[in-house]
Amino acid sequence: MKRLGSVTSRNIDDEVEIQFKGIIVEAYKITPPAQGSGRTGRAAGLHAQDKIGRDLRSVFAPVTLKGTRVINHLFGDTSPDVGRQPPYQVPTVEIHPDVEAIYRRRKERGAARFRKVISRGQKAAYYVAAVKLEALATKLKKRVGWLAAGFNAAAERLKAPIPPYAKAHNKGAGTIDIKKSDNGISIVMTNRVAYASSVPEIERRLQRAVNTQAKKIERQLPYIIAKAAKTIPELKAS
Amino acid sequence: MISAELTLEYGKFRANLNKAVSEARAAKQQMASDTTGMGGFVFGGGGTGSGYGGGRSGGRIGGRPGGGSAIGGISMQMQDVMVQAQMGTSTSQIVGQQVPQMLQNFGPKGQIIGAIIAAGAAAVTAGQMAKKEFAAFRAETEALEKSLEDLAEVGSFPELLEGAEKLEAHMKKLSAAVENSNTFLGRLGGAFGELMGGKSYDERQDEYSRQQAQALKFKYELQKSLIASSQEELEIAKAKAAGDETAAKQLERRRNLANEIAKIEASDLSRITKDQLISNAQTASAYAGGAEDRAAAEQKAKEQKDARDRIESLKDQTAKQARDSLPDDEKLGALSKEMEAVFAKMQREGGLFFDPSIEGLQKLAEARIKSGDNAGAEAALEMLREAQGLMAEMDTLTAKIRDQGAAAAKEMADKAKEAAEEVSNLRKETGSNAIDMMPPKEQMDAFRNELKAAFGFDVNSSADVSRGLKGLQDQADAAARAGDREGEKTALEKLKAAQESAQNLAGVDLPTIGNPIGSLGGAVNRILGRDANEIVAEETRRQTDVLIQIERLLRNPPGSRNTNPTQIPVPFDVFR
Repeated sequence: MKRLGSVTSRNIDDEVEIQFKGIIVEAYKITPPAQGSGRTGRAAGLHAQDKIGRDLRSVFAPVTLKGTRVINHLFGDTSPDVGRQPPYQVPTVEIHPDVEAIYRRRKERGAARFRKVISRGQKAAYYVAAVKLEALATKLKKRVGWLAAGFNAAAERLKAPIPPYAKAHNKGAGTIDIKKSDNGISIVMTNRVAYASSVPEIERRLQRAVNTQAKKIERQLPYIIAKAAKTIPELKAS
Repeated sequence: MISAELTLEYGKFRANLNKAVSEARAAKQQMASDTTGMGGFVFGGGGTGSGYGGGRSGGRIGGRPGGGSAIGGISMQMQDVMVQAQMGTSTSQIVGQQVPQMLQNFGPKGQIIGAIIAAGAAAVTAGQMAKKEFAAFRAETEALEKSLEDLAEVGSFPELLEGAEKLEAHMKKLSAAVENSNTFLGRLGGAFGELMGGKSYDERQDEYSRQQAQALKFKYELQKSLIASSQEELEIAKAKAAGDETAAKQLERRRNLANEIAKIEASDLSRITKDQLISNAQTASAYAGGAEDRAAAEQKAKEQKDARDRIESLKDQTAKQARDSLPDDEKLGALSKEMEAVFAKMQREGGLFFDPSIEGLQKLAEARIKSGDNAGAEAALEMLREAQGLMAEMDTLTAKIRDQGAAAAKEMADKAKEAAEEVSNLRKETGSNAIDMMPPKEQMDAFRNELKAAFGFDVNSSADVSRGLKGLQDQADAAARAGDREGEKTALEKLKAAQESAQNLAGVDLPTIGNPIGSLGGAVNRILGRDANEIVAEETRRQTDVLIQIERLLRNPPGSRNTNPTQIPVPFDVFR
């Protein structure tokens, strides 16, 4: 029985693990940045980053803040020497200091491109410090692939290919649990990113991927078992 | 957070594999021990051939070098067969797939047989055995079926019992054959048998099914025949136990006769021959009964006839009593039905070509007397007597009904006449009452209408009234002169009614006309001694008053506005 079990388990378990890789590949495809873009691999990551930049530029206009400005006349100055004295240098006040807050607020409101009505001549809704804007962009771009990285643990264990944008996040926030016994094998892959289930239709597509792979396994099983049976001495030709 | 799970339980597959291992082990052992059959052939255990591949010079089998590879191929096929069986593939599919592959090891079909023979007779034996066994079993079944068919019809009790036992044994053999044909080796042997010209697997299964159905049918028939046969034996035993040897012998003779007739019917002789043989058997049985039996049979027949006659007589009496209690018209109907029954009986008993009537019965009786058929003539005359009795009774009843009907009709006519007179009187009374209750104008119109109906012309003046009355008087006188008392009476009645109407119209309450007018009136007055002139003057005066009144009313109907007094000319052309 044990001998049978080892022969059978090894072959069937391998097959199940091989088929599970298909599920992982499908999972990467249906989570951003691959989802919706039609791109895979590195191209998907780059496309996502470009999109972030475009979105920021549609709302913010970067400005180099010098901190001061020169004026010739102070407000309320009624002296006769106005205009004949050298200009004054006064400090400037940053109108929108917290760029990230504006970004978050607009995102929460759910606007597609969170556009603000801008007046003639205005380049964007908010003029913000270029440095701050750049910092925000960098931060956002770095987070591309974080959701997909939730499947990295499973991919690494089963040796499935990991896209570059997901690989950047190392193991990500995900787990895999493989249980083998004499009666069967069970593989559970979990993506622990909080908003993983909020991706549109991810559950349905993932279920479809599981079903497809399960059917493949069922089709392979008779051949696997026949192949395994031939290694059993009693079933060998004398 | 989202997760995906994939689980596979392979306990079922493990169980199948274990089963495959154990069965493969058993099959290998079985085939290894079978040195002459399929096992020997596959595993090289023996056979009558001189080995594999090298049995013939040249050593070629089916184009393959050597022949050992052919056997090795068979072994591989057997392994595949085992695995396939445990994967749930049906046996027929396995055999259908694997056996041809096995045989392919030996090349095309034409060479297969030769190759098999060359390789060894084991496979030939397996196939031939399968084919022969099946053919022999089938022949044995057919013979048994034929004998059981005859037995169910004509067999005696012991024969039926023996047949039932044989059938039971055959059914067991049949079950075993069916079971064997479905085993793996049985299927393989059958496949080789088919290769050698035997029946295919499906054909053999169909044959087995047919045999099983037929066996069940025979079982049922035999059981039925056994029960019937044992019932006869029981009756005979009862008669013997009761000491009635005659009855027991009769039962036995009857049973033997029935069996003999069944045997004759089951034979292949022509119908005429069978009928003759059956008739002879019946006669022989009757003779075998002896004189005592005949006398007993005759006595019994006589008793039965007497009983029948008594029953008929009682039936006739009760029918007659029931008929007499019916009302006349229904009795007539019952008599008519009895008459029809007599004629129907006549036609049934040879009188089909005679008229169903009393004359027809007479002719039938004469014909039978003439032909010497005294019994038939007596029966016909009996029927004739019965029919004549019924006819007489019907005639009497018909006359009675007719008389009753005539009296009833006369009575009804009288009643109707009385009723009509009453109605007429009532109409008159109601008419006159109705007129009395009318307003004066309508009264006058009603009286005028009465006078118009009596006279035949409209009354618009007293002259019209006089003229009308005169006309009626003339009619009465004419009828009197002609001697028509009825006509005179009618005319006088009309005249009287018209005069009453005239008086009513006048509205004068005059005494009734006591003095008739006309010639009769004159005669009466003379008899009474009154002076004619005086009578005439008085009458004229009276009638003038009436006419004046009538004229006044016609000119000034009641309710009219004309209040001027009207000068009314006195009509002088009044009554005679």
